[in-house]
Amino acid sequence: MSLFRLIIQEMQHRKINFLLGLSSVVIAVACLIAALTLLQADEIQTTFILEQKADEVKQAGDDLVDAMRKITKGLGFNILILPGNQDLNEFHLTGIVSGTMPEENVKTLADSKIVTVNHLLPMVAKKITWPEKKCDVILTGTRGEVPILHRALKKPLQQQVPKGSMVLGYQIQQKLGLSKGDEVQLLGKNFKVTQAYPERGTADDSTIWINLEEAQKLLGMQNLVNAILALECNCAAEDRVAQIRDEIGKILPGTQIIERGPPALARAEARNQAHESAVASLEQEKNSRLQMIERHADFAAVLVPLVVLGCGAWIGFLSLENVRRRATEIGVLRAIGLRSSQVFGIFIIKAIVIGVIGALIGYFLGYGIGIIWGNLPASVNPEVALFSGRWLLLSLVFAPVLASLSSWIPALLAARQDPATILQEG
Amino acid sequence: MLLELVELSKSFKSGSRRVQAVDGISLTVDAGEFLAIKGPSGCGKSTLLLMVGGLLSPDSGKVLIEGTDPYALSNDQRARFRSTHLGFVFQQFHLVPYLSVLDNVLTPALATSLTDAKERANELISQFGLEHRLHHTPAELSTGEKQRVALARALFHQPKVLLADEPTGNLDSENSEIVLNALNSFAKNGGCVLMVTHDDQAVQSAQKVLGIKNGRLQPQSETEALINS
Repeated sequence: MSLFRLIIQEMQHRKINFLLGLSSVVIAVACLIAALTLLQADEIQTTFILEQKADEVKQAGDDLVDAMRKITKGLGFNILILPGNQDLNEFHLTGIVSGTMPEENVKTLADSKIVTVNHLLPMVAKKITWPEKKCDVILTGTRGEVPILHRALKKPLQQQVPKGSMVLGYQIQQKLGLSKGDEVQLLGKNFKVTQAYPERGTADDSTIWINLEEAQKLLGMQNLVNAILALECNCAAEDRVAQIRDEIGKILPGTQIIERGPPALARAEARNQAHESAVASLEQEKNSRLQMIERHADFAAVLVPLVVLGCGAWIGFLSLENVRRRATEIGVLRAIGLRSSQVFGIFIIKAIVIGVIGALIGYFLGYGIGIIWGNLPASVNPEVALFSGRWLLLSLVFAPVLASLSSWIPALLAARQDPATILQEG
Repeated sequence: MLLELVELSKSFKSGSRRVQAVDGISLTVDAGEFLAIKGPSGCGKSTLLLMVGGLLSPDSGKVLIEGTDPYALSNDQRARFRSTHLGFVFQQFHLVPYLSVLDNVLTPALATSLTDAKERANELISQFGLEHRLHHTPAELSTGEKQRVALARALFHQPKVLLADEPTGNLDSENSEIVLNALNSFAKNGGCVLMVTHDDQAVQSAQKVLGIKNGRLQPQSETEALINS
């Protein structure tokens, strides 16, 4: 015979008292664990939604960048760096640059810490009559874009024209009946047509492109260029051109900067706005989710203590009722020689046993509620994501403490009962 | 001398007045003695028994069991003293309702460790003819069986003094005889029995009878009158 056996036998005998006490513990623990699990589910859901949104924003941003690339590629370079001796009036009237500057300038620019422009493309361009075809063309020599050293390598807007190759504008190709693969002569040098551009509706339609070095030789402009094309970076400054002029002026004193194609600016602004709006929407979603979690946490912070207090009071009442019903038994046990601490222990151990059983049932009930109501995304396994050994341990500590604290006063009353009074009354 | 009471007194407050339940009782009981105390209701019999049992401290006077005053001990020491020296039998049996006959007999083992507790319990259960009721709860027992279980429980830890409060009060003559024989047997084996009762049959079984009235032991002549009343 042991106290534990006595306690278990008593719980089996007074099943209703035991089940009512147990259900109180189960409710308190389930409420606590369900609240914690649902808050955890909220956080998982929030993380998932925000990650999804962030991916969408990133994707949209990438799409915009890609679209922008295509658009800007169509529009061409929008910053033109011209030699200091170029008559801008002439340029605006004819579209032709007659002034020259050292090709070295492009290297100087690329080696600098310049931030206001990207995609440097040196070129020579001259209006000539193609003697072999007897046709006026703009002969343009370009080389590959010169990478800006301190920047990550960017996808070039315009591919270089390899030596011996020629790219034709739409009108030239139509007029001369040339097509890809044809061999032609220009100023006595052989070229192979590698590409023919579709109609652009600009001077490009009357242009032929060859390798820069070959063009320089054919035009007698070794180590010289007419212009450096560039694309402004997507810098949000009110007076962008002034900023670009200022920066380039410090690196290449004496050069002139002209902005071409204002739509590029509009596109850049649209891109910025779209990106900002997507980021703002993401931020809004994040704030709204955080507010929701905070509301749930506030609600749980009120509800859980109320339920726990209510359950604790109910357990206390049940313990008191148990002590009252067992008064004679307590008197006899004391008469037999049980110490008051043993009588106290009978009620506290019973409370702890109820607490442990209630903790296990309550934890899995609360966990189940979390799984059902947590509404986690399909890609997340709720059984795994919401299970917490830490909370199970918390339940196994919390419930016995709640049950024993609630039974403390009744157990003290039982321990302090005067056996003589009980036995005289009994 | 196993049990000695010296000028034992106890009073209770009842409303605005004090009632003297036990008034200066002195007596001695030797080992092997079976003493019956007879008196009318409310004369202080049960109060005397509780004081002897170390459950109700007297206002004055002394209880000495084997020379030890249980009221000079701390609460825990007194509880331990009860578990080794005293056995109780009540009119209402006071069995633990959810324990089997075997477990009820074994309840004193909660307070004191005994070797071969189960064998001892089974032996007592057999002695009182309850083998067939071993795993029955008190609700499934007859009144006589309940009192026999209570008696087995009281004797389980081999006390020095057995205190019986109307042990035959609810029993038929057959069961009363079994209980009284057991009390006699306990006394003959060197124990000491102090029984308070109304029951004439029980009084006849005792070796010595004392009368009690208004909390005081009565002279022999009055005791005889009480016995015959």
